Parts: sequence; C-alpha cells; structure tokens
Amino acid sequence: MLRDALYEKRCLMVCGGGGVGKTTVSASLAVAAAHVRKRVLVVTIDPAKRLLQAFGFNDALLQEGGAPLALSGDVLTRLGLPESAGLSVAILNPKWVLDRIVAQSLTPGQGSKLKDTVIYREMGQMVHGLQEYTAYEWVTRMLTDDEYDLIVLDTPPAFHAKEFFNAPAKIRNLMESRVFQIFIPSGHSWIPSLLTFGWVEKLLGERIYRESKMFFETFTGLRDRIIARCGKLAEFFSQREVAVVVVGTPESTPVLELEGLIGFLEEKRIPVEAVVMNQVERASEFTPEILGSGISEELLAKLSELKLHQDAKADRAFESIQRVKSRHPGREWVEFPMVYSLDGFEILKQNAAQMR
Amino acid sequence: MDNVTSNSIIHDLKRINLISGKGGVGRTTLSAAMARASAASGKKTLLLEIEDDSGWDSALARSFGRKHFQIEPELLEKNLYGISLSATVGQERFLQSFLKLKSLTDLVMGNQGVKWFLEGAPAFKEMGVFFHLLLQMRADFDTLILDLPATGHFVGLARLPDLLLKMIPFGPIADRLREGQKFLYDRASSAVWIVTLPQPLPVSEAIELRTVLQKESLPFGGFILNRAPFNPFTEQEEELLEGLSRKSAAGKLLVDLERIRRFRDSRNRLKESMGSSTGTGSIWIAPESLRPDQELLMSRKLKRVEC
Repeated sequence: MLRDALYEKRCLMVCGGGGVGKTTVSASLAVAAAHVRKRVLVVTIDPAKRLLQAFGFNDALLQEGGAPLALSGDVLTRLGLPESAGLSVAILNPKWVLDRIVAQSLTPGQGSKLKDTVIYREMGQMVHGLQEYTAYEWVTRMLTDDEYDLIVLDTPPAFHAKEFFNAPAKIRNLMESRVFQIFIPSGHSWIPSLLTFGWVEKLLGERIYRESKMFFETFTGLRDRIIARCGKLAEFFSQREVAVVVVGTPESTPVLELEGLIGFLEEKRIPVEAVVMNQVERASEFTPEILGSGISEELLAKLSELKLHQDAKADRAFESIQRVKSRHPGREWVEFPMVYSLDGFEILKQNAAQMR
Repeated sequence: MDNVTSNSIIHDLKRINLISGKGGVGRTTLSAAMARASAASGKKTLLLEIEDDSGWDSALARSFGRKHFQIEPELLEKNLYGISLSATVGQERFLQSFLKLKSLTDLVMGNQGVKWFLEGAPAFKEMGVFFHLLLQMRADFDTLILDLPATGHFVGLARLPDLLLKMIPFGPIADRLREGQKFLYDRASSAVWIVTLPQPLPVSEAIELRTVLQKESLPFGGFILNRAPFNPFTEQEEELLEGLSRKSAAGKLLVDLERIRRFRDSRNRLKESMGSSTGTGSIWIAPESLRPDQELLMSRKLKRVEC
C-alpha cells in the first residue's frame, strides 16, 4: 500500500514518461508523507526547476552545491501541514555531484587537470546516463547520512522512463569499455590500439586526441569507484526501504508508455508500490440552475455543449483507466484529477489528502 | 476575439523544420500531422526522428502503422518519407566519405579499437546522428520535419557543432559540422518550432526555450499552442460568465470555464513574449480533439493568431 510506504519506506522513486506530472506527484507524495514523518526531502533533477516553483520558491533560492531548502511555516500552512512539519526540497545538479566525487577520489592536481578538459566540462550533456547515475549516488549518500526519514526522488525526464533504471549499467559499460585502454598506454603494449591511435589522430586532429587522452588518463582514477557503485545499484531497488511509484495519464500514448514501463519493471523484478494515474479528467459539475435566471437560451445551450464536451473527456479517461486496470489486476491505483481552478498549493494539499 | 486567420501552417514551414517541446505536449502527433499536410500539398516531405536504443516502438512510426522507421528514407504515403537517424549509420557514412573506399571503411569500422572508441567516447554518438541528418539535408527533399527527442532541451543537438568545433577546429569532421551549421542557422531555410500547452508552466518553458534559441542565433519559426480547449463563447459571453463565476456558488462549479481562461492567459503571454522583440515567428493554435486519430488530420485546423 502506498499509504504504508509513506510511513515505512526511506526512499520513493517516482518515475514515468514525459509530461505526466511526475513533479506534481512527487511533491504531493512528499506533502502526504510530511504529515506522518518528521524529516521529508523531495529532490528533482529537472533543470526547469518545476519543483521549486511548486513550493513557491523562486530560482534565486537555488543554492550552490544543491543544499536542501526547508519550507517556511507559511508555505507549510498553505499546504495543510502543521508549522512544525519538516519538509525540504532540493534540486540536484549532476555537475556538483561529479565535482564532489572528483574531489574525493583524485589528487587536487589530477582533479584540476580533469576539470580543464572540454569533455569533463560538457560531460552532463555528452555522457548518457550520467544524470541518472549522479542521482543514485546522491540519494545513496543522503540515506547513509541519515538526515532525512524519507527521500522522494522525482526522476529526470528521459526519452523513455526505463532509461533511468538502465543508467547504472550504461555507465558501467562505458567505464569498463576498452576506450580507456586506447588512450591509456598500459604495461603490455597492445598492437590494435596503436593502430587506432593513428586513425583517431588523423581523423580528429591533434587537439581532441590530446583532450581525450588527458580526460581518460585522469578519469581512470574514478573508474573503479564508479564501477563498484554501479554494481551495488543493481541491488538498490531490491532493498526493502526503497519503493518505486509509477506515474501515467489516461491518454493513449502515455498509457502505452506506462504499460511498457510496468512490464519492464516486472521483467527486472523491481517491485512497483503503486501506480498513480495523474491528470484524470472529471465530469462537469455544472447545472443550469446554479446560474439562476437572466441567462439567455443561447448561452445556456452553449454552456450545455461545453458540459457535454467535458463529460465526454471524463468518460474517455474512465474507460481508459478501466482497460489498463483490467490488464494489470492486483495493483494499487491512485487517481489524481486534472485540475485547472486551483493554485499549486491547493492541488498538492488535495492530492496529499487523498493519499492519507 | 482575436484576429484569427486560417491559412495553413504549411505555408510557414521552412525547408528544414525542427519540432521541439517537452514530453507530453503532443510534439510527435503534431510532427506527423504537419508532415502529412506538407506531403498533401505536393511537397516531397521527409519526416525524421532520432533513433532510440531503448528498443521500444517509436510513437511516430506507430502513427504510420510501423514499429520503427528505417535508416534510409522509406515511402510512407504519397510524397511522404520517414527515416530514423542513427548514430552508427552516420559514423559509418562519414568514414566512407572520408576514406572513399568501402572496403577501407569496413576495415576501419571493423577494427575493435575504433568500435570501442565510437561507442564509448562522449559525443560521438550525437555526431553520428548529426552526420546522418546532414546527409538528409543535402538530399532532394522539399521539406524536412524532425521530431526532436523530449530529453531536456533540444538545444543539445543544435549546440553540438559548436561544442565539437571547440575540440576539433580543423579537418574533415569540422568541415561537415560547419556545413550542417550552415543549414541549421540559415533563416531562409530552417526554423525551430516550439510546441507547448495552454498551462502556466509549459508556457514559461516555451518562452524560456525561445530565449535560448535567440542566444544561439537559431531561427525561430513559431509557437504551436496545442490542445486549445473547446470554446463556443463570444468575448462578451466570456466576460458575462466570468462575472457570474466570481460571485455565488457558480464560481466553484464553472470549472470548465477555467480551462478557457487559462488558454487565453497562455496565448496572451506568448503574444507578449513575441511583442518585445523584432524577430519573425508567429503563434499557431491547435485544438484539442476527442480522439487521437483525429489529431492526425488536425494540421488543417491549425489557426494563426495575428500578433
């Protein structure tokens, strides 16, 4: 049960396709948890900083180093939480995490050499899976430090949600790949790599060759640590204190993606705590009587037409959800309505109330 | 009411069109619709997407009854071709153009060291995709429509040449990168379209993305405000209803009207953001439709907002 998870787990990973509202769901879960847990942290890698906006922070409050920000008493009250509640929010910048790993694993000299390469500076963009990897690294550290009872992780937007789970393997493959050996002259001279030197240098020019060599030489110092970490991450999801929450919407393409993700997690034997259906359209609550008299027939007709439109959307959403549910019996489903008329705090408050 | 003209968006399309937008805004559906409309107008059109190694079916290909597009342009419908841009194919084609001989290319690509390098070294995948795109831009299509991946900001692909040119300022790769840049940065032949939804955050992100485009000097085609709500009311009626919904219990129940108000706010914010600069570009409105298959025909219903 999701409700139990809010009481018991130490980490909730919220994942799903793009545009389904992972951030809103993460924030709602965190608010619900803050009613029953003392120290709750919700963290995102979203560069658009949606999470901060959801809690009323402006970008200027984004702190160097990604230190969590505690919500003020005023905001807690608006979220329906007691002023004594402990809810914090953090934005994770992969660069900060990486810099920290560098500082811990390399000598200052090596570190600055590495940081000077263009490859390192642009690494977040250039290396697939790096964002995800740093999220794991960060969450693991936070769990070990034990400053929070529960961490809700809003996973990064990706091509497909399952990339998040494949990231450690991807990074590990890169770290173990022979590309390092091409650039790093090892004790046993190795003829194919010498052949490659020539080609790479001729094709790419001397500069990138030099840059790459520098990068791979210094980065080698981090490899063992990253490879070991990636190995451990495979077990991360099987820990009893970690739970995965999958988010989707009833629309046709997101539903396909949602089912694909559930299937993938089943295959990987990663337990799914609950599925949240977000942005569910509700039937119109409008009736002409509310408006009283003084409304023209024409306008009433138009209002009825608008109502029909909304009801048709609600029917479609209902049918879509019924179909998905019937294909996945035995799962816990939570529905969050599509809301237009409320401010952000009110949405989080109502979503949270529904889960408690 | 806004001054809305119904001339088709396809008259505004440039030769090369990059369709961008965050996940869930309907970017892929709109790309397919625009490609169909372009092909129907008699233009030889190529619809492109970037391969995705997750092994899942492509949503774009699915709207043409396929699981995936091929690595060569493949005829989908009359005048309309589809292709999936692939890193490996791009790398291979590039090497071949450089080494001339196919047998020599095979030898190099077959070299284990080279394979490891191309698979593992950062940015080389993107470079392969970029070269595969370049080949399509060189080909004889009248219109190209590229459905960009939702991951973060698309600027990655557009920035790639700049980034790589820092490391590889000379030589055959630099030449190709510059050639690609020429295509993409030319206002006469390229445009980036930003798809967004009539909600506050997506609109903020769209406006932010346009600022990035301007900074990078990439040509901007316009905003496409997708899923505009059904709105049967005149402006006077809207005002009347707004007044009614502010007082009494009606306010709570007229939730449906809220959607219309949000749409109006979104459109006005986009308009404002465009007004402050002299650049070209326009706002197009795409209506929400009840069934996804109708959405595919939607491009004919796209309306332009006069700014």
